[in-house]
Amino acid sequence: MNIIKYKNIFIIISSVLIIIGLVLIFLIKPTFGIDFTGGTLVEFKSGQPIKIEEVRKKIGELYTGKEILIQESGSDQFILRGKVQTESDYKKFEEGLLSALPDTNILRHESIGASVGASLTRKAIIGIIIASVLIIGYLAYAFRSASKSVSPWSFGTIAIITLLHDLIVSFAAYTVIGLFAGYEVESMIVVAALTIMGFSVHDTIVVFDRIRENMIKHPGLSILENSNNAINQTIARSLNTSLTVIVVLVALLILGGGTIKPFVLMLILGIGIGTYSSIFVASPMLAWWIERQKSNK
Amino acid sequence: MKKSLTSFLLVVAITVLAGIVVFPKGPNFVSREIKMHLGLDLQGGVQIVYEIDDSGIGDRPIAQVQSETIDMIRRRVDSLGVSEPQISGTKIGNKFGILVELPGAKEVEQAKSTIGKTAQLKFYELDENGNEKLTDLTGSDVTKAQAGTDSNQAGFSATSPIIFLEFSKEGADKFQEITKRNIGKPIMTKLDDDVVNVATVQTEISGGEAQITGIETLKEAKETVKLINEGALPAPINLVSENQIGASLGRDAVEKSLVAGLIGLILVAVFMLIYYRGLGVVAVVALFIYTLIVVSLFKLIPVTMTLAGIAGFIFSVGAAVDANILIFERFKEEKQKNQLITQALENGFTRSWPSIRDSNIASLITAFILFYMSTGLVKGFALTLAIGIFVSLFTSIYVTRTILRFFIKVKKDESV
Repeated sequence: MNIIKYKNIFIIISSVLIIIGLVLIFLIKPTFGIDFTGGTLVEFKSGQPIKIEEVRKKIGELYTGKEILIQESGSDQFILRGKVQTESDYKKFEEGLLSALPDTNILRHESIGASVGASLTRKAIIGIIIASVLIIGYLAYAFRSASKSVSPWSFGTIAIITLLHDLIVSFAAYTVIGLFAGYEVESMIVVAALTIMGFSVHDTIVVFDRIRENMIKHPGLSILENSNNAINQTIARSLNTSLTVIVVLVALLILGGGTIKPFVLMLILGIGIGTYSSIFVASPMLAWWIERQKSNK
Repeated sequence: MKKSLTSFLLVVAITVLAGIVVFPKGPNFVSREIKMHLGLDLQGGVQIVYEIDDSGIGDRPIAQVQSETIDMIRRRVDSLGVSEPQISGTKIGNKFGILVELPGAKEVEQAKSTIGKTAQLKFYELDENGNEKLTDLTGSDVTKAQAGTDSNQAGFSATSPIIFLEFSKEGADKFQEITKRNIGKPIMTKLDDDVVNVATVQTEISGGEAQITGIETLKEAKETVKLINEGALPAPINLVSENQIGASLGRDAVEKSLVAGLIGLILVAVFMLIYYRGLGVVAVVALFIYTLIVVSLFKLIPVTMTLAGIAGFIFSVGAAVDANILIFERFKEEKQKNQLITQALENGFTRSWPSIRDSNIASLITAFILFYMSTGLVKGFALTLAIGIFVSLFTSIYVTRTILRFFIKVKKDESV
């Protein structure tokens, strides 16, 4: 399989994917959960069979917060989201709910000030940036003697560009699916993004390591040939590893608890795209980058 | 042969030890069952975030106020008898806050009202027009408070609750001074913003003892006494977020997800067995040992398991499987070069090592940065990820290699 030969096509496909992804995210404007925006969430289960329309009608009168959203989260189980309420408002709501729908069990209740979620995201983003810089540095060190004609910094830089590609494309896909499935962007999605980041860099490094080995062993071959050989030598590993992880995740998506489904979906998307990019994006981009550097000299 | 046998026995010993920690219902070598600590999202409970109101702390460093507040809240929570409470400092944006986690807390409302009270006892002088003037006597001058009933108090019923206060030497002097200049005038006692009592001073009181009357119930008197004795929070705190998860929802998530995770792992094992045959058996054994060691570490450290923690664990399982696959693919490749099988095995390990090392170091960098940079969810993720990766490096390199070397040697010896 000669992937490097068609490197320009793969680079164009990925660029287009990134642009479409950004446009979709911008157009759809994903709904952020209350852990980012602040608000109230109540999940409850009725002891008697009840339809969601009936719940909406009964609850609508009770709820004092504006912009409420009621969704089904299981059989006779509902999630209600709304703007921040005062504590006494919530108490009144709880009493009203229990008298309107007797036998109701409140499963969880969250009230969150907007500043808490913002702080989590900000810390995670700063963490990602510092980690990215260190990864670029580490890879530059690890690949310092890979080749005289290739700057060691290019490996880390491309690993991080590939990572951004994976995050943007998978987040866009999550946004689109979330629109139909009613999934919000909650703080666990930040954790999923971090996991995807780990897998993405992990995958990319395995291929780059093989390129480095090939360059040392076969200095006579061109970088294009060495890269292409590396991809073919590691492709079985890339697919097998991703397959095993995705199998576990799909089992969790189908059979796991309801609260973790959005998180697992994001992971499946990210790891799927990460596998694609470690084969079809990272090495083609590396080859393209090196060729360009050479022609500039 | 001898060296590989020693390594093999070491692997067996580690596995047995980890197994004892993970399955405590087996032979009972440890005196008590070592339990997995579950986070609030998994076992249910309440998580409350308070912001410290730093407007009145003056020159005192906010970090010090925060740590004093944490100690104070911990004392209050302990007196409620909630098991395994977690109280820690946190930051909300650039404001200092306190994170309180009470697993399985049933009496949420009581916990909230007890924790949130600043409990500053203050004494005011009142002039003819009812204007309040704050005195320098406060709750910190009280050495001991006691609740009781006083039947001799004129005008009160036989069960009228009362609080006895004992002042320190300094407090006694202050109190004497205040009563001296207010004879015939009222003095008001406030706990935070609630008026506890207004009493008219009859005579100058020396000796440093005072009584507060006019409390409605004995229960209320006892709660107030507890708050006074434990001391006031150094600064008022405001509730900014609250997250309460019912135990049943958490249990449901754990049970379903555990079953799902198990089915997923079995599928992975089946895949490895079909694709890699004999090597697959080694991988499955290595992964089993890996899981035992990681879970026993989670229990021993202990790591509080949350959904985010499980995510970190899934990632590290991926890394462990990946390391095995990298080694096996390399081993297959080396075998095709018509080498001796033992040589191919050693080459498979040495040549796949740089990939395993570099990719796992990159993941470890991420885990360490996230652990030090963040709080809550992300920190839990980073911790299980880091532990998982260390163990996966150990099992994929040491355990897999030891088992393979042992069996390949045995096979060779037999064929000779």
